[in-house]
Amino acid sequence: MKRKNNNLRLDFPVLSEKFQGNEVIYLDNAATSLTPMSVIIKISEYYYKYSSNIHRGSYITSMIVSDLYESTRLDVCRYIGAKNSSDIIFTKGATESINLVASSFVDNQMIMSDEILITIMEHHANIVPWQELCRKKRCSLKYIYLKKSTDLDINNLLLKITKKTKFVSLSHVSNVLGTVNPVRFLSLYARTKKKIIMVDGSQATSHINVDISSIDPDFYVFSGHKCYGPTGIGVLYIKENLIDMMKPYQTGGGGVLSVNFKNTDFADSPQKFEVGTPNISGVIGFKESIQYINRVTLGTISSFERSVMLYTKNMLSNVKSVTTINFPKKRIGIFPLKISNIHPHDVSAIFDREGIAVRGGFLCAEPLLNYLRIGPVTRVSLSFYNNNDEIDKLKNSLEKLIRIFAYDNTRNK
Amino acid sequence: MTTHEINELYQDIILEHNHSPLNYYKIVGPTHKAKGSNPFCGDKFEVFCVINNNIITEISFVGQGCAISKASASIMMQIIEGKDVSEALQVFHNFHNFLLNKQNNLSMLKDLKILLIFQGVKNFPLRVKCATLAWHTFKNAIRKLK
Repeated sequence: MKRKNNNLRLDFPVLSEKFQGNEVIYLDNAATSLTPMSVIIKISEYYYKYSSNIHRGSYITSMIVSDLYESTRLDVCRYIGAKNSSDIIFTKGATESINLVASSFVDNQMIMSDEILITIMEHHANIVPWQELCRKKRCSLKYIYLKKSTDLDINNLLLKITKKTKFVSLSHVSNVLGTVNPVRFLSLYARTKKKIIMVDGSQATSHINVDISSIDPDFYVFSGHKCYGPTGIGVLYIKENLIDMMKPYQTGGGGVLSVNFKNTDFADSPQKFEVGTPNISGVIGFKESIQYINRVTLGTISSFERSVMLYTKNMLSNVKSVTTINFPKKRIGIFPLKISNIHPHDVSAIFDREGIAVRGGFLCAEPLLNYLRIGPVTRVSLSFYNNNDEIDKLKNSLEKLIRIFAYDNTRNK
Repeated sequence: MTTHEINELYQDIILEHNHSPLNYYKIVGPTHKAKGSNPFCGDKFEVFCVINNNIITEISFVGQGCAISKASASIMMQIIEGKDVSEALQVFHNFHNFLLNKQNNLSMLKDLKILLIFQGVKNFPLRVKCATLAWHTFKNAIRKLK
């Protein structure tokens, strides 16, 4: 794989911007991905070419927009290998998708002293809704722990699925560790135990091939903005047989068949879960981001990512004072780092002045970092448009940072 | 410019306080205490104090934070121990205004010239929260006094 990604880098206008005299070196892809120009154009096209509401007007622009909106559902369905496009619900993001499942489905299933099972590597979006639900229903939230490699401890999982377990939820890929979880196996196991399982694909769908027909979860969620799409658009996949058991998440205009003075007949999925005017430009932009991935191909994306990931891994192992925390068997390019005794906020401030964007802190996964007893970390997370030159610059900044703080280690002997 | 800003932010005195903060321990049986955190970057402090007749006779802190927040906590210990509560709050008020560029008249800081080492924070608006975390936590600890 000697091919360079220079041409693909040109697709992302942010990469040609300069701030404080520096080019942008964007290494915070786990927080949100950059947006290619073609997506930006499609979003604005909606506003300057055919602004109108969907599923309402019998005029040309409304019909064009409705078609674009519904054909995106089909594109998403194909992209993740789902069977029916009516199993695909648009939300404002993975967080809303999870809250929808909590409120419209899990809430009805739980009785006092039941259990919800998640993993210790979840981000807050896949923890807090379950904590709140468990408090409300007087249920318990249980955690599956990790092996030393930071892979999920499958034995611990087998132990924790009990008669009381009503719902299992876990991330496909960890936003801190980059660990790719064996979701197909876990789905299968959950099914044999007659448990309902949700997979949070926030960190997966733009990096690895996701095939719902093979994983076969009951629910799968992800966000558009982590797949080179716009913010404010997300997906919830629901397994067909569960849809009728779910009540509407919100109610209002749309999502209904008829409304009389006292009662309402609700529509079927997906309309049942999409009330009010949705994020139309977001959906249209999302359509283009999926087409963009399909044009570049996930194969090319993952081969570029793998190459820059190995280069980064090698670089980090050669810088003294940098400790890598994660060693999962199957992974993507996410590196949580401890750099000497320097606090992540000091790290990111110094990197920022060099044009390098990284994330520092608890990474919306405080329970995980406390479990690992490492506290806040600095995270480098990669995408296919990152290259080795950027990683060389990261190395220079790391060395500079360590020089500035070397004061601590020399003066106090 | 960039290196200058970084050096101004991370002056030696700041790095020294970060490495060996003053009064870094838990007071057993404090009259007042509070926890403070900045979820954005994961800073967490706990401030303890003993206050008799409105005088801060002893103050300490523990926790984790960046160099700026830890150095500021350490220097706060140095400044407000032995001071009257309202005097300590006035120092915080002036320091905060100084960081927010609301108050350029440095003479307001009087004998607190040491706080000028945080001058560099003004170039990093996100870090004002770091530089004031311990102070906010102190203010929170003594809120019941008022």
